[in-house]
Amino acid sequence: MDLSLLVVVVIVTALAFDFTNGFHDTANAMATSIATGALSPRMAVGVSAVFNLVGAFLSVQVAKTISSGIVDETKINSAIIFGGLVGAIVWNLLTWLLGLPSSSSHALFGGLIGATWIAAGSDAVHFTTVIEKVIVPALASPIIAGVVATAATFLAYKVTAKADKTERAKGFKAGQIISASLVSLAHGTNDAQKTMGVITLTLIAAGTLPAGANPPILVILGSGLAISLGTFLGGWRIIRTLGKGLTEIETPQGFAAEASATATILASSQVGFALSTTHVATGAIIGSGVGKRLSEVRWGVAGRMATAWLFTLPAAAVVGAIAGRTASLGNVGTVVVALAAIAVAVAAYLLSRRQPVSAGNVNDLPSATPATASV
Amino acid sequence: MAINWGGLGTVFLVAIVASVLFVGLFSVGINSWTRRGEAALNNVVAIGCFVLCAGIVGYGLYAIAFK
Repeated sequence: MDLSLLVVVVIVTALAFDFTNGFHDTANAMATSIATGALSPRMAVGVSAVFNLVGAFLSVQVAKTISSGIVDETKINSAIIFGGLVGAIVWNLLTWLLGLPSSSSHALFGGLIGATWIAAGSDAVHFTTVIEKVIVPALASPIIAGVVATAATFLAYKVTAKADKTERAKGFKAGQIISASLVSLAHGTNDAQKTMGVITLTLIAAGTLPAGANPPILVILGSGLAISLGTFLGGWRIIRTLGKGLTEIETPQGFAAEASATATILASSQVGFALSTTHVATGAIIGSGVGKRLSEVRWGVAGRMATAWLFTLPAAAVVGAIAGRTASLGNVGTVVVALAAIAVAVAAYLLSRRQPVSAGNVNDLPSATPATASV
Repeated sequence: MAINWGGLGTVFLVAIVASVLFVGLFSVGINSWTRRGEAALNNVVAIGCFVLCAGIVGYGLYAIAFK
C-alpha cells in the first residue's frame, strides 16, 4: 500500500476534524442533562461517547459524497479536501474557545467551498445547492425545533401541574437519560459517517480502494473512536453555554427539549431534508425556555450564536481557500499548512486555560452573561 | 432553485406530532405515578403510558439504525 504524504495527512486531518466534531457536539445531546443534574458531567460525556461509537457502527448508510453536491466533486483533489478540513477545524476551535455551538457540517462545507473556489473557480461551487442545503435548513432548523419544543414543554408543565414537584423532577430526570442517549445515538450515526465518507473517498481517489468501495473496518473504527474521544473529553465551554447560558432549565424542560430535538432530527433524516444537529438542539433548548411560563430566555446569548452560525460558512471558506491553495503547492505547502493548523490548535488550547471550563465548574453561570439574568 | 417546502412541512408535522405524543404520554405517566398511592387506576395508567413511550423509543431506535 503506497500512500502519498498528502493522503496520509488528509486522513489524519479528517480524524482530527472528527474529534473536534465530537468535542463540539457533546453539548447538543448532554447540555440539558448536565444542567438539570439528570447525569453527572463525567457520566454524561461517557454515555454520549459510548452511544456515538455505537452509532458509528450502527448506520448502514455511509456518506457517498464529501460535499453532498455543494461543490463539483470531479474537481476535488486531496489538497482541496485537506484545505477544507483545516478550515473546518480552525473554525470549530475558535467557536469552542468562545463557547459557541456551531454546525460542524457547515464548517466542513465552508472549508470545501473556499478550497474548491480558489482551486477550480466559482463555477465549481453550486451556489443554488448551497442555499437549498445549507442556508434554508439553517434558518428553518431552530425555528422548527423551537416551536416543537415550546409545545412539548408547555404540555409537560400543563399535564403535571398538580403533581408533587420532587417526584415530578425525579421522573423527568429518568426520562432525560433516555432522551439524551437517543440524541447521542442519532448524532453518531450521522456525523461519524461524514468522516468515514471523506476518508473512504480519499482512499478511492488515491487508488488504494476500488471505486464504490465501502469503508474498511479500520476506517469505521477510527472515525468512531475519534468522534467518541472528542465527545468524552467534553466541550465543557459549549455545554455551559447551552445548558446554563440560554435559559434556566428544569427537568421537564430538559426532557421536552431532548425529545423534541430527537424527533426533529429523526424526522429530517427520514424525509431526507437534512438539518444540523447543532441548530436543532439549540432551537429546542430556546423553545423549552419559551414554553415554560415566566422563564427567561437570554436572547442576547441566542443572538451571539446566530451570529456565529452566519459566519461559519464564510469564515471556514476563507481559511479553507488559503489552506487548500498552499497545500496544492506540494509537500512543502502541505507541511506548512499542517504546522499552521497545529499551531492554531495549541494556541486555542493555551488561551482556553486562562478561563478553564471543566466538569467541575460547567454548571456555573457563564461570566459573559449578566448575573442579573439569573434572578 | 427549488426549495423543498413540502419536505420542510413534513419534517415539522412529523416532529411536532411525535414530540407532543411522546412528551404528553410521558407527562401523563409521571402525573399518575406521583399519585400512585391514591388509586390503583393511577398505577395502571402510569405503567400503560411508560410502555407506550418505550414503544416510541423502540421505533426511534429502529429508525436510527435501519433507515
